[in-house]
Amino acid sequence: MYPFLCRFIPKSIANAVMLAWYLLLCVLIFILSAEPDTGFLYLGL
Amino acid sequence: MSLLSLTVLGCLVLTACCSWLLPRKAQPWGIVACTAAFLAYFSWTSLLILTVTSLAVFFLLKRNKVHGAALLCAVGVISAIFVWFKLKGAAAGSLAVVIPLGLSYYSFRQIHYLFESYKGKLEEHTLSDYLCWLYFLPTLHVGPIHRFPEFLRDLRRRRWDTAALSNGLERILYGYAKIVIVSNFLIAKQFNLLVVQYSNSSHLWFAEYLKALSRWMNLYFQFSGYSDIAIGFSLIMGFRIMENFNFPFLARNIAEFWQRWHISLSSWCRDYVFTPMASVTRRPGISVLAAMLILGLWHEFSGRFVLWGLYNGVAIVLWHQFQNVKKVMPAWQNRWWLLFARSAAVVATFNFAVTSFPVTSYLYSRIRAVL
Repeated sequence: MYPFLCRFIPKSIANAVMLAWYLLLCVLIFILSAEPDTGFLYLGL
Repeated sequence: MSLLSLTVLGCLVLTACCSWLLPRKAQPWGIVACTAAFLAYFSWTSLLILTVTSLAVFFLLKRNKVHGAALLCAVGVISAIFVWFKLKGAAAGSLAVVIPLGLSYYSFRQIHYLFESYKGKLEEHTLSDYLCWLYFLPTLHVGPIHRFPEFLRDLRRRRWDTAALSNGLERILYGYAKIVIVSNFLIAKQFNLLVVQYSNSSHLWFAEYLKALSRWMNLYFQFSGYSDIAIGFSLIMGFRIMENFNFPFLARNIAEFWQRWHISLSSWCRDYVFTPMASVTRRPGISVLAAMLILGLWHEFSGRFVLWGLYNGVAIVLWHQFQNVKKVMPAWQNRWWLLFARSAAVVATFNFAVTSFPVTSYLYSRIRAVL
């Protein structure tokens, strides 16, 4: 994603966008980790 | 045990730290020790089986280099342990409780090691190299079923690389995002609300389809998410582990689907079931069915998975037969028709994969009712 962004926007803005994207993912993971884990361990592998 | 728990994450971080901070010669043993401690905490049985079988295989091959009887004996014992636990699990109903953690993965890794050793394709290596590969925590319990030669190459060449660290962290983040955001929240919670809504309406067939779709997508995002985490941690530790998924829902036929879905398992079945059988029997159709049967049984030792494996196998055989027919048919010149045909093929393959499990479960229940 980062090389793709760098083709269209300046590198400093791409850095900020990537940082914001990672931060957003971290926050979402932190908030939504309270949801029950459906897991795929029912397959018993 | 949830693979998303902080304990599992802590163990993975600790193993990654050990793989770099210890003296060079002690690093493989550090990885082995961390994994052994992890298994001792979560599954004693698994630790016992892994330790006994891996040491037995290593010393057996050291003593009897390229010995057919020893190879068959070792493969037989590993398969017997695997089958015994699978049957026990199938009888108990709740598989995750009975099957030792990661048994399905490390059994197949050991069989790969045995066959490659028999073929004489493995470079000289020490016990620590071998144990480090088998006791490699990131891939131990969720795969991929990575191969020993590539692992050994990375183990010898690995150097600290900040780009790999960055890529690894990104993969781990995407892995967690796939599991927590897409699978657990969007599919298991939000999408299932839609399924419930349709279950109460007159469109029961559509509700069944949505259920199958939800289950298959959930499985994909969970499994590929865990594979991402495994590959990410491996990258941080300096190992390039094989990819396990390559956009399987973009496959244009069922054969291509199995080259994109759970790649490490399907390539294992190709190398150690399909190829030897095809070379002996000279009948690729039978070999495909055998490979898909093993692939089905790997998931669960039950009639429905036998049927599921054969169902996919028959589809692959039919597709190959269709390829022979296609050769004599006139090729489409119009690129819009070609685009349409390709899109239709992607949609058809996707729906075949999504509905394969409910269809075979239904067929299996009908067969049992008749018998």
